[in-house]
Parts: sequence; structure tokens; C-alpha cells
Amino acid sequence: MNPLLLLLSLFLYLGLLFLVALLGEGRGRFLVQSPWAYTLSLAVYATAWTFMGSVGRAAMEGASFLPIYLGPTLVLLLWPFLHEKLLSLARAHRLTSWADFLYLRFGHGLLGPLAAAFLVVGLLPYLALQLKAIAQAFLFLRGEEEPLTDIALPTALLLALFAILFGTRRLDPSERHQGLVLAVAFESFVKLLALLLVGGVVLWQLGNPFPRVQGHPELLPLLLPQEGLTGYLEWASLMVLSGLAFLFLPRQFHVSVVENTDPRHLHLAAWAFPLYLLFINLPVLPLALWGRLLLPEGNPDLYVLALPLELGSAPLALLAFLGGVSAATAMVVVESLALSILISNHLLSPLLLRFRALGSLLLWRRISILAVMLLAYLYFRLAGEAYALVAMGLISFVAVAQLAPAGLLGLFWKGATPQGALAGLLGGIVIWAYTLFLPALARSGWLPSFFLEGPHPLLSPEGLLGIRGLDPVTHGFLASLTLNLALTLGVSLFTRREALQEERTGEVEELAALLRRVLGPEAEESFRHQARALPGREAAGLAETLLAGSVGPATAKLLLLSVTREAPPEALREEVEEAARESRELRAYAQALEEARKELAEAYERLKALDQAKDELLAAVSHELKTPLTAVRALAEILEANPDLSEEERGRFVSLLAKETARLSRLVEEILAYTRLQAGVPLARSPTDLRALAEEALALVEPLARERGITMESHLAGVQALTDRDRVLQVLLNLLHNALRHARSRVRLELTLTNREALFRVFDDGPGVPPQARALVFEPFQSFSGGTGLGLFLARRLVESLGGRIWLEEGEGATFAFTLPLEVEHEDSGGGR
Amino acid sequence: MKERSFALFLLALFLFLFPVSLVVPSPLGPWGLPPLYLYLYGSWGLVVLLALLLFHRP
Repeated sequence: MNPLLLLLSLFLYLGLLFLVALLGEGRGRFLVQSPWAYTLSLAVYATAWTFMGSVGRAAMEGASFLPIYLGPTLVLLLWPFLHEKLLSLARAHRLTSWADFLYLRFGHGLLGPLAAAFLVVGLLPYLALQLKAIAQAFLFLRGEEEPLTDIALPTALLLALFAILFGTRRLDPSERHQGLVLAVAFESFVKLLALLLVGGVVLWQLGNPFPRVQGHPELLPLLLPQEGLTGYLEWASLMVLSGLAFLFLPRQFHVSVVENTDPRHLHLAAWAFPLYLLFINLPVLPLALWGRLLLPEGNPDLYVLALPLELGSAPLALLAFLGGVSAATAMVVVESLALSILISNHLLSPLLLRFRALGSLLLWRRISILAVMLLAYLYFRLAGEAYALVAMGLISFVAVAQLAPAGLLGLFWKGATPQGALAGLLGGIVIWAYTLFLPALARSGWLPSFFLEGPHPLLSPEGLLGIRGLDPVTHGFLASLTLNLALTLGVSLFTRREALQEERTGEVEELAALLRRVLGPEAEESFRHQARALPGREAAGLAETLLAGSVGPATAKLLLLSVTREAPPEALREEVEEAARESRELRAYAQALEEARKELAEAYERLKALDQAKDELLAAVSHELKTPLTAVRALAEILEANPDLSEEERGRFVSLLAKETARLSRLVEEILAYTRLQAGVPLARSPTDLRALAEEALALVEPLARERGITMESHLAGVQALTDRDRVLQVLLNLLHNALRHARSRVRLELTLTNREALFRVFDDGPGVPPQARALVFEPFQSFSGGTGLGLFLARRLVESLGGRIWLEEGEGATFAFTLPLEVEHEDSGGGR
Repeated sequence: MKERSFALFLLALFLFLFPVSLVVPSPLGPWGLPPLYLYLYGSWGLVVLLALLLFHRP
């Protein structure tokens, strides 16, 4: 195949990946929120090893490729126990990896860095394997096999750039990377489609391979289960191993936990992801068998590419190539990102903190991605076709599985101790290196054969305790995991469980300042918002969580030391919290008491004022009643004592008597009106013609005006209102009587409509109200002209009860004005405030 | 949900770890297809179907 076409296709595909990621960061964000994108992103599990290696494995070993996919199916069925719990923990503590969890759970300073360093060492060859798959496929299609040209280097650099651009925009790695997830989901779709198409076309053109197998007895064992106990043990071990790898691989933790946007997506993923694995494995056996039948001398790992070429279909071979590339690139990008987070959070950030260079952590994380990629490339170049690379897929799985005892026991067993976890992990690493890693290097010729044989037959790396018959991976897996588990359990049982970690407490202000220095103003603002109502201990915990997500848990703890102090011990803390709670309750009780005391005092003052007002009212009423009563009595006595008075004299006294009686009557009426107001008689609203009402008031006071020689004038606009007619009339009469009492020659009543209110003005040309009395004119019993002193007071209360205002205007004479709303909206009886 | 998912896990574990060699005497069975793979893909498909029925929420 034309190498230029291949190269162009490869780089066009990588360019397409960038576009898809950009779409995910922009308008395609809704796609990333879909549970299907989450499910497809989980398929980053299926690497080039799946795409090409499964067919190779099926062609050589039969069904042993299947447990690698049955294991994840089993683990995902347990999502309510595993993933849901992990998601909850990750959200609460901003976990970015299993190493974060181990540090959080056990609080041992060595666990995080040890796990991180071990995973980097264990997974580098696995990354190299992906680069090799791309290079090997490229070379195969262009028709060359040696030497491996450097197509892997530009690919690795481009993928590093991709991971840096879409995975390290910000310091906080626990934030979601929509572009990255969409690109990974897209790649999962491409590799599934490519493999199904290749399988479909091969079957369509070549037909069913199984009848042909009958004529090839050497192929029949591929269709039978592995024989004997060792075969069964290998099958079961591989299933458990792949299940654990699915759970503990850094890239799987990243896509399934860190990038999860909604825990409910697991409902779909729990069945759709196993279905994906089932589909991608459907064409594997037919392709393997046709490969063996048609290309017995070919490399089984390349059957996926070779069979389309054998059929003469170059486009299909190109599609298969792109499928393999997509499987490799997705894994490389996510794994390198996950490893760079491990490196920066657990290995680099404590060093940077020591050298006061924590501000450059993001730069170091980007450098880590590049370094991981270049190291993987270097490993691939050095190892080439060596066993150390070919076998590294499963050896990496065994390395990752060493986190399982500490991780799972840490999740589900309270008795697990830091010493147990550390002992188990160390033991597992040692056995892994002794039984798998070092023999692989020795088999590649990089180490002497001693590492294959061991110092004693009982200590043979691939046959500990004299065990024979197991394949090296199963042997290494069972030996390392057994020792790891035994140490984790045993040491935990024999060590005392200590308090997880000393708890710290601090002031929100200082913690916020620290977050601003390390993470920037956005993190500070977010912290202030969340920590507003938190006590010091919880605020310190929140700050630690926010820091841990970005700089790693160990560095976060070190950073917090400068702005926090040790929280009181558990027992003491309970007492302190109890005392604080009681103190808070006491303060709240005291505050409530103080408020009640104030209310009582105010009520008492009001009552006292009312009582005083009542006394004053009684005194004023008595005084007001006494004056006319005295006059009436005196006049009556004069008339009784002087029967011989002239008719003229008698008439004058009787007239005076009638006048005083009328004054008494008016006084009693006003007092009755006042008591009605106080009693809170409700309003009697009705549609009222205010002009007619004003004319009626004028007519009622006309005799009095005529008697006093006062001219009544009026200017009345036609105004309709929904109001209490009697109260308005009472107000008008009070104001007109008051005006007539003070006027020299003229009283004028005006009615106008302004601002949806009726405005009445009553003007008299009298001497006006003295300045010192203006503030008191509406107070009860404040008479300056011999009136009852209740008229204006009642007028004010009545107007206010109708929703209006009353005031005394400035100017010549005296002008009282009041307004009335055209419709009384509120119900105020006027019974006092 | 936890109980049902654990029960399905046990069923899947039983199906996937069942010693098929005891019941698969020959490499090719009816219709010329290999019974080992028919069993494995069939039980895998059954587990997926049960998971769909158990976990799927419309």
C-alpha cells in the first residue's frame, strides 16, 4: 500500500481526533453528558492489544482471549458496590486515582508515592506496546517489516500534544475534560465499527471457516476448552486478573470515576459496555481461523490487516489500520494523562513544595505527559520484538492488580491498617518483579539467565515452591496476589488500628488565602462560598480536599500545616462541641429573652401611654362638659330665681341656654364618634358622588354661616369614589365648622381630581393657625378658639381610615386639605394605631 | 439493587467459570459450529440481557 496514503490517512485521522475533542469542548458538550459517551469512553479498556492481539491470541491459544473481557463484565455487574462507592468518595475528596484513595484511607506517606512509581514502571511497557502496534501495522501495510521506522515518534508526540491540550488546561485534574472524553468515545466507536466491518467482509467473502477447520486437525484444539486443572486455573485467573485490571488501571479509574458527570450513567454502562465487549469479540475467532487457514506463515497479531489484503481490499485494510490506531491512541492519551497526574501529585509536588516551586506544577504535569510518552517510545525502540514487550500486556495487568488487596480491603474492611496495606503492596511488587518483570527482561537478553532460573529449584521465578505446569503470567499473578493479600490481612490483624490522621482546624480567612496562593482566585471564591457556615475543622477538611485534587494529598497536607493547628482529640472534641453547642443555644435563648423583654417593655409603654391618654381624655371631656353644664345650670338657676324677668331678658337667657345645650350636644356627638373610631367600626363602602356630598355638607353649615355673616364659596369638580359616605361627610362638616369658627368673612370649599385621588381644600380668611400650634392642630382637645378640640383630630383619624391624608397648608388664613383614594383598597377601621 | 446485582454477578460467575470441558466432547457441534464458543457467547449474551432488564431505566 502506498506509504504516503497511509501516512496521510494516519495524520488525517489524528487531525480528526483534535476536531472531535474541540467539538466536545464547545458545541458538542451535550454529547459528552450522554450516558452513551460515558459507556463508550469505558471502552478505552480495549486497546490495540484487543484489536489485533485478540485475533493473534485466538489463533494460537483458542478461547483464552475471552476471559480478558469476561472479567470486566463481571466487575461491572458489581457497580452498586464498587463504582458507586468510588464515585461518591471521589466527589467528596476529589480523588484522581487509586493512589489518592490509598493515601486518603490509610494516611501513610509512602503508600501514594509507592503506588504511583510502581504503576509508572509497570505500565510504561504497556504504552510502548501501543506505539509498537501502530508502527508495526504501518510497516506491514507498506510492505516492509524491518527496521521499525519512526512513524511511532511523530504519533507519540502528536498524542502527547493532544493529552496536554485537552487534559491539562487547568491545575485541577479532578475537573471534567469533555473534549478528551468525546474523542475517546469516538475512537471506541471507530474501532468497534472497523473490527465488525473487517469480520463481516471476511465472512461474506470467505464464508464460514468452521467446516474448513475439520480438515486441519492442528486447528481443532483451538475450538476446545483448555484441558486439566491447570487450564481451568489459567482461565479463572485470567478472568480475575482482567477484572481487577479493569477496576485498577489508572486510565479506567480516570474515565469511569474522574470523568463521570452523572452516577446514573452506570445504569446504562452496566449492560451496554459488556455488550460492546461482546460485539467487538464476535469477529475474533472467525478472523483467527481464516488467518490460520489462509496465512499459516503470517504473524497472527496482524491477521486483521493481512486478511483484507489477502482479499484484495486495500480500503478495508486501511480501515482496519485506522481501527488499530484508534484503539492504540485512545489508550495512550488517557493512560499518559492518568500517569502524569500520578507522577505530579505523588512524586513531583512534594519535591516542588520543598523547592518552593509549586506554582510550576501544571507545567511539570505537561512535561510528565511528554516524558511518559518519550519513555514509552524509548522502551519500544529498545525492546523492539523482544519478549519484554510482547508479553508486557498481561504483565502490566498483574502489576496493576497489586493495588487490589489494599484498595478493596480499604474500601470494605475497617480493620485494614496502613502497615498491612504497605506490607501487602511491597510484597506484591517484589514477587511481581521476581516472577514476571525480571524474567521478561532476562528472556529478552537484557539480564543474565539467572533471573530465569533462580537461586534454588524451589525459588524458580516461574515455578515457586516447585509448582510446574502453569503459564508464567498465571503463576506470577497467583503468587504475587496471594502474598500481597496474605500480608495485607495478616499484618493488619497484628497491628493496631490508629486514628487515621490527626485532624486540623483553621480559620476560613487564612485557608482562603492559602487557596488563592496555590490554586487562584476562583478556587478561593468557591471555597469561601462553601465554607461560609462550616466550623474550623470542616473548613480545613474542605480546603485540604480542594488542594489534594490539584497538588496531591500529601502536598495538600503539608501546605495546610502552615495555616492550621491540631484539632482537639476525639473525646475532648465531643465535649468541646457539646459545650459550643450549649453555648450557642444559651446565646440564642438569651437573645430570645432580650427580644421578649423589649417587646414587653414596648407593650408596657404603649399601655401606659394609652392609660395616660385615657386619663387625659377623661379630664378633657370632664372639663369640656363642665363649662357648658355650668352655664346651663347658672342660666336655669337665674330663670328659676327671677320669675319676674322681662320677656326680652327671659328670651335672651333661653337663647343662651339653647346655645350651650347645642354645644353640649355637639360635644357628646363628637365624643361618640371618637369612641366609635376607637371601637373599630368597619367601613361601609359604597359608590359615592363626592360633589353631591360636598354640596350636602355646604347646605348643612349654611344656616350657621348665614348667622355669622360669612359667605360660603365653592368650586366642586365631579368626582365619583367608592368610599364610606358618612365618614367623608363627617370630615367635611368638622373642617367646615372649624373654618366657620375662625373665618372673618369667607369660607371656600374646593374639590378637584388629582393623581387618581380626590382632593378637598377648605379655606377660611381668619387669622390662621399660630406657628407654635401648627404641629398640634390634629391632636385631641387642642382647641384654640373655644371648640371641643376633637373636630380636627377626628377628621384626621377618619381620613386616614379611608386611606387618605390630611394636612394644614401654609399661607394666608387657614387652609386644611385632605385627599381620598377613588377606591378604598385597604380595610382600616381607623380604630387607632 | 445491590442484592439483584450481586445475584446476577454470582450467576455470571457460575456461567463463565463452568467447566465446559465436562460437557463439550468435540470441537464442532450441530450446524458445524463450536459448542464451546456457542456456550460462552450465549451465556455472555444472557448476562448482558439480564443486566439490561435489571439496570435499564427508561
